[in-house]
Amino acid sequence: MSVVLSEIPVVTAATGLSPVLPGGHLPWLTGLRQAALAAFQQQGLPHRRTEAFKYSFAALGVVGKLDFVPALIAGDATLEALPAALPAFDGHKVVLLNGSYAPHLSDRAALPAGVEVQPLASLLARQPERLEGLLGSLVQYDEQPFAALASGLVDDGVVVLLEAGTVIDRPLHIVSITLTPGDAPVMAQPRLLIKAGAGSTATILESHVALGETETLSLPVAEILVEPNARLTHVKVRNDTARALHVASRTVKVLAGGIYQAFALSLGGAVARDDIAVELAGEQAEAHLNGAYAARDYQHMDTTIHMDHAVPNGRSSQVYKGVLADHGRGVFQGKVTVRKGAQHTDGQQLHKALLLSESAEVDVKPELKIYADDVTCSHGAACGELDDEALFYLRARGLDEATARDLLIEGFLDDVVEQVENDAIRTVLAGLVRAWLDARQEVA
Amino acid sequence: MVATESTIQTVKDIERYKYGFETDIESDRAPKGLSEDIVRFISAKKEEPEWMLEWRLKAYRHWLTMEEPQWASLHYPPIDYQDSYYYAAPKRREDGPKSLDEVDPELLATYEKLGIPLKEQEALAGVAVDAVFDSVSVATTYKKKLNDLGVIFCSISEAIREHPELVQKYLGSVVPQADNFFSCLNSAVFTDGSFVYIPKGLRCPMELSTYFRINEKNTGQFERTLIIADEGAYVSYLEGCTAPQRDENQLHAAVVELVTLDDAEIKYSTVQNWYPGDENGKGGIYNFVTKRAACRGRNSKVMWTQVETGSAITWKYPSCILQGDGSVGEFYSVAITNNRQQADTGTKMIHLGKNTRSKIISKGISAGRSEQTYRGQVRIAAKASGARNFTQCDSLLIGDQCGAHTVPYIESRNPSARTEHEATASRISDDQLFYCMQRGLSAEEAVGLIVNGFCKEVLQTLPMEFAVEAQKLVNISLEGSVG
Amino acid sequence: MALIEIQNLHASVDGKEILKGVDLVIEPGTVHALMGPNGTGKSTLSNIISGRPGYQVTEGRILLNGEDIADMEPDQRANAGIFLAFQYPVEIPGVASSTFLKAAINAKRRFQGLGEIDAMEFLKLVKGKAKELGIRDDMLKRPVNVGFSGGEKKRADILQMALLQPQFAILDETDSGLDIDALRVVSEGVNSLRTADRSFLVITHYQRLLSYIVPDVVHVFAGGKIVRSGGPELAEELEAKGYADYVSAA
Repeated sequence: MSVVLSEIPVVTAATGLSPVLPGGHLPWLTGLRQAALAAFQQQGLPHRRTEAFKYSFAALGVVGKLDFVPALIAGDATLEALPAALPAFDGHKVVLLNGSYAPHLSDRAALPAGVEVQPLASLLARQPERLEGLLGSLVQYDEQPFAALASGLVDDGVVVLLEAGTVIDRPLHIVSITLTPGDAPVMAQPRLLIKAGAGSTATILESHVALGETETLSLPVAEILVEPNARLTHVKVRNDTARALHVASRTVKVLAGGIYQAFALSLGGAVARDDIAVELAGEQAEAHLNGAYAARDYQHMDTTIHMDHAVPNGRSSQVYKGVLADHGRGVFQGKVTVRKGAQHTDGQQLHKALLLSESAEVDVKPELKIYADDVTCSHGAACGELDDEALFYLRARGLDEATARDLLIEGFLDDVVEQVENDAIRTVLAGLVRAWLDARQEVA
Repeated sequence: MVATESTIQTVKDIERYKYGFETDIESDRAPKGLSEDIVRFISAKKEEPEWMLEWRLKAYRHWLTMEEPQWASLHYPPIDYQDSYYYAAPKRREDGPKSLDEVDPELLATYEKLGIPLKEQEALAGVAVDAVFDSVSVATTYKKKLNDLGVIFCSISEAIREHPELVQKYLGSVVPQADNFFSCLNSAVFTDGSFVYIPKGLRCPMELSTYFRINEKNTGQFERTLIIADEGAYVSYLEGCTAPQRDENQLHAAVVELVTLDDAEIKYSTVQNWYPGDENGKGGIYNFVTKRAACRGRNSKVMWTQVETGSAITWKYPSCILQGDGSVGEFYSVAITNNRQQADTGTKMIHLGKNTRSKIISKGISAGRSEQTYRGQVRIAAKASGARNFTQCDSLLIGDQCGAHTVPYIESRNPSARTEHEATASRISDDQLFYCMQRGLSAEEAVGLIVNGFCKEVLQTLPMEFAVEAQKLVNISLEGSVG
Repeated sequence: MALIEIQNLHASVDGKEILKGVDLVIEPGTVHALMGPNGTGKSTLSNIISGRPGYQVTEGRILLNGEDIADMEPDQRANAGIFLAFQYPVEIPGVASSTFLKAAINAKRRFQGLGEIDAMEFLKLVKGKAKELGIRDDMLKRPVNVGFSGGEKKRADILQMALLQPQFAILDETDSGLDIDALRVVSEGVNSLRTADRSFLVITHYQRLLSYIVPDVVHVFAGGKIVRSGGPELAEELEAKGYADYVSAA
């Protein structure tokens, strides 16, 4: 059942790479990479008994079977212009190509004062001391083999540093493109590090897109620190081509009075996993994670959340909605932990799934782990098909069945998309949902 | 706050173990430890046919290859399976008791202390009782009356001897020997338990009941219960459990199998009040139980109700395999943990047939330094068109040193199926507590009343005989009869 | 001796002072009305008298029949004869109203050294009182306040008062959310309980209720204390002029 680790090509490659990676001369960074690789070696790829990957280990088994080559070895991918699959969006822009900074596609010119957006590799080369103790400080490897593997190879990405009190006028768009330069399946590990200084306010749009007809493996790792009273809005959009594998890991720490507001839209690809761990580490901190996903063909989409209320007076909510068509499979695992002493916690969670086909599947594991008594926590989960009565109502008003169904599916997803406050981003998201439905119609 | 303290005290009072007495009856014990010889000894003692011995040995050999499960949220020192007695029977007359008159009066006194309706007056209550004391079945009341109806209600040992065709057909058919570590152990060494067969079309006119009690020191109790409701049959079955106070932990690993054929229904109610250990977590029963129902027939139904207040460790997931089209599974549970108790309990509803329905209502109350987990699985297979599940899990925390966890797994593979799951965790509201106290109720009474209300949906599914005991356990008075 | 005597009562919530020196004497058999603008501490006073946790009495005291009640738990105060009709009666799921009433009656009887009430006697008593208040039998089977309309909740509270026969009852904004019919039923219920030794403190924002329950004394409450007292005519004056004068004065 389990894969022999030494036989996984990526690991073999990774072990030899460490010294030639950016910042290879820095002992702290080398230590970080080695510890991460060791954690990966020790865990191996997820298997049947890896509880965190209970419903996705099989789909991800392909990682151990294919000869993924780290982008550094595979060679430079070239791209003249941003692909059409990417949301056209007017904002400050940083683009990563296979995890490495692509200056010709980026636009950082108009960033306001107090906002620093740096390529990770160049910061490691110029001012590594600014990253020591920050990079790798939040990411966790326990039952996170992919985060460990990606951290073992960490080379480039984006660092966003917001000074205390800064307010970004327009959203910052961080784009990550995965593209195989040759024929071999490529692997990239775009790194994202955000530190929202005390009282700062920013909106970040993170877009992921894989291109081409060859398998790609993207392993984004994000570490996000929301300092006291900062307010960070973080929208992630993933819109991959058919053979893309995407296993993302995000660790967020919210300090007193900070608010972390996230939204995720997941479309396309072969297998996608979004792992989000949020620690509400200061009192009056808040985190709100919403999302929508739509899977068709044989797509597999997994969202796994751990909301950790470490101190009193925290508030958190999660609302996720999924649509599963064809042989699509959705997984939602959401854990809310309330640690001992974290009184007056309010933690809510809701997951709803629509199954549109006889072959679709959804697996849900909402989880509460409560160690304090004065709390209000709940979760809800519902799975089913479209409401017959609503369908009939629309048809009685003259809509044909396909249009009526589409309208209801769109409404189902838009209900959560509506939660996104930024108008421009919300419009982009709603457009992607609409496009997904249109594409489905064409196939049908 | 004063109210919180008294709340905690109330729970202590609720949980004070009333059944911690021990009966001194010389018992007939097998040597300590587990081996093929012990399995043979048990089988010989039970005068079992060869096929049964082979069945046990097969289970034992497989068990040797298995590992104890670790996935539950339970922490306890490793169990030494060689440090327990696997057979202990109270010494009895050569032929065993034939009627209540022949049962050791001290045993009867024990049951009386337990409040078991074993005596004649209980005929009015319509309860037939099979009492399992340590490892053997002591007496089954109303055998004659049940016989006349075609109901078989006897100890599993007797069933193995007298009704081998039924036992061979159904034993292990719901919970296979190798299903899990504890069921496998049970298959090798089970010593007694109850067997029930309700014939076609019969609605069993009386409730059938078994009381289990562990009495001997260092004794493991491994009972096996098998209930078959033939087409159109109905039975309500009650199971009660107690054990005396002891410093050392005792192992209890039971297996219960239920089978319902077309249009049949089994209602299985448990009040589990094994000794939970003292306030420091010393002693108490380790309760590892596999309970499962196969709703094989069309429109058949199984309803599990459990009130779990005892045991140091509880590992128990009464489940339903809904095979027959239109079959129904229900699970109602109240679990109260206090002091250092740990309970990991819940259910599995496996929907295989079309239009199958399931309902799960779980109420967990954690107090003291206890840990409680609801663990449940709802699986809708691809062919289970029109399946429905509704799940409600509520946890109440009393005091800030306990834990309450909810771990549901919901797996749906059919678009026309609908599943709904809701879970909450909270404590008793200050407003409710104050409201009750403003009307003159002491904090203890107020908590008892509110907790009772919290559990009501479950308690009201119990047959009356058990509801009374269960409500006493939750420290409440019977609902008023106004109106 | 006064039934209730409040002397220079100061109290705070989370360190914020709400009551700033309340003085009030209520003689047996009298009805006092406490009127005033919202958010001035009227409900705080009723909560403190009935012993709700979360309030700190920083100065002064409350005497019931001459005895300081500071150390009494809420249930002890209730059994000693203090009844609070809640502004927002809380819902208690799963607990049938009749069960709750029986528990409360038995708590009081125990306090009085009596045995538990006989089931038949209880039934007769509750049904009789319920009928007087226009409460249907099926409401007694429903869980306490769960799914009750605003009017039903208030009627259920008055039923509790009628059964528990307190010495001193506080009606905390009982009129809020009541239509005119419910208001009349509730008022009649209260009036029927007026006796020579039972007293009431009627807290209200509007004069409306006081035309049904006619008070002996009217107090104006503003800025955490009683700023003026008078006869029933004071209520009418307030109705005409409003509280503006008192708000600015406080």
